Amino acid sequence: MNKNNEIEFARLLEQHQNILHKICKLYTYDIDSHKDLFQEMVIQIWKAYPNFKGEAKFTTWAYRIGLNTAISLYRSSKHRITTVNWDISLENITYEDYNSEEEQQLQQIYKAVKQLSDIEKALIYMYLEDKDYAEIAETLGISEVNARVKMNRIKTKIKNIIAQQGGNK
Amino acid sequence: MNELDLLKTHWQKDQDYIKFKKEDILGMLHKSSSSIVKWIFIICCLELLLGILLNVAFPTKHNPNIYFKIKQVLIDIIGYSIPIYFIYKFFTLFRKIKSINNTKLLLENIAAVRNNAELYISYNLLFYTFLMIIQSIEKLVGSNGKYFGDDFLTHGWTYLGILIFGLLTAIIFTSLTILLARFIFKLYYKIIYGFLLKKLNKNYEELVAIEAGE
Repeated sequence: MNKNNEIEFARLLEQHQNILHKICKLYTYDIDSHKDLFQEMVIQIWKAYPNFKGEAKFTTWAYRIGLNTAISLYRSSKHRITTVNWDISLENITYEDYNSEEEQQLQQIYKAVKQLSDIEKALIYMYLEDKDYAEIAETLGISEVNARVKMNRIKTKIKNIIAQQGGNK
Repeated sequence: MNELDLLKTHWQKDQDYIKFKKEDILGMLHKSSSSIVKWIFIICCLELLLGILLNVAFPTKHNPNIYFKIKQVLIDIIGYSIPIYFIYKFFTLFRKIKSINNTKLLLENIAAVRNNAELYISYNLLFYTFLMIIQSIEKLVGSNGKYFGDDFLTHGWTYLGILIFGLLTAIIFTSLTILLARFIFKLYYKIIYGFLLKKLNKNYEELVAIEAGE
């Protein structure tokens, strides 16, 4: 691939990098693994770039590869951090400070989401990105009905985790 | 407002992320991937190579006896054609792994490459065990195959006894070898692929469970 392609690709990705950062935010627990996963996603998207025909939106195409990288291709020893205490692991995140009551509530929701499985996080990501169920189902390779059912179960699961967190306080 | 709606509102407003410049991204393009698929590819290549090396390294004795000549031709045909088939299959399956596929299909395609390598190792185990059986029988019955010729007819019962004894010994010896080899094989797979594919298997099982309505 020539230098122009590289520059064009880097320009596109620089412009739309937040879609990948958002995936990293769900799947990683510190800034190093965030950067690590981001880099792996960039490599995977770049490897697939010759087949990008421009029929789909670049962002749609890139987030699918990004999600697949997080779910299937990326393996970091830092994943073991999931077994440590959640509060400790969250201390490493410098994404934002939580002050108001709403922000504290948000922190609780993020903590609950972080406890979900890789697949559940993928569903949440697409839900938060406002993807419809047809797209969610197609991206994961499941039926639309089952995507809806699973999403409802995840909502209940998040409620339960938050309730448990509240109970543990 | 429920939890996810609150999160969604915040999520869509949130722009507070690290910002990589175009130059940083350009630098990333030339970094080495740490993808699981890359490791599977390397391990599978080593396994394929090992199979070929075994085939090359397996001692072949030139013997004028027609039995040994036919045996050697068969070993050569099987010993080269089957690994070539597996290598072809490996690259065909490997090319199907595309990160743009849906997650379930991607996981299935990765598993297919691994299964191909697993089948290849099983084939090698079977093939070399079979060769060991044949060689042990040959050794017990007589060296250089002289008992496989006309002598066999003239020494009837004695050789038949030795043959049965040899066959039984070979079966016991082979069964033990197969058991040991299977144990080592399982252990190897558990260590190598268990480590690499734990996450993939878990995610695949979850997708299957979603489809099954569990």
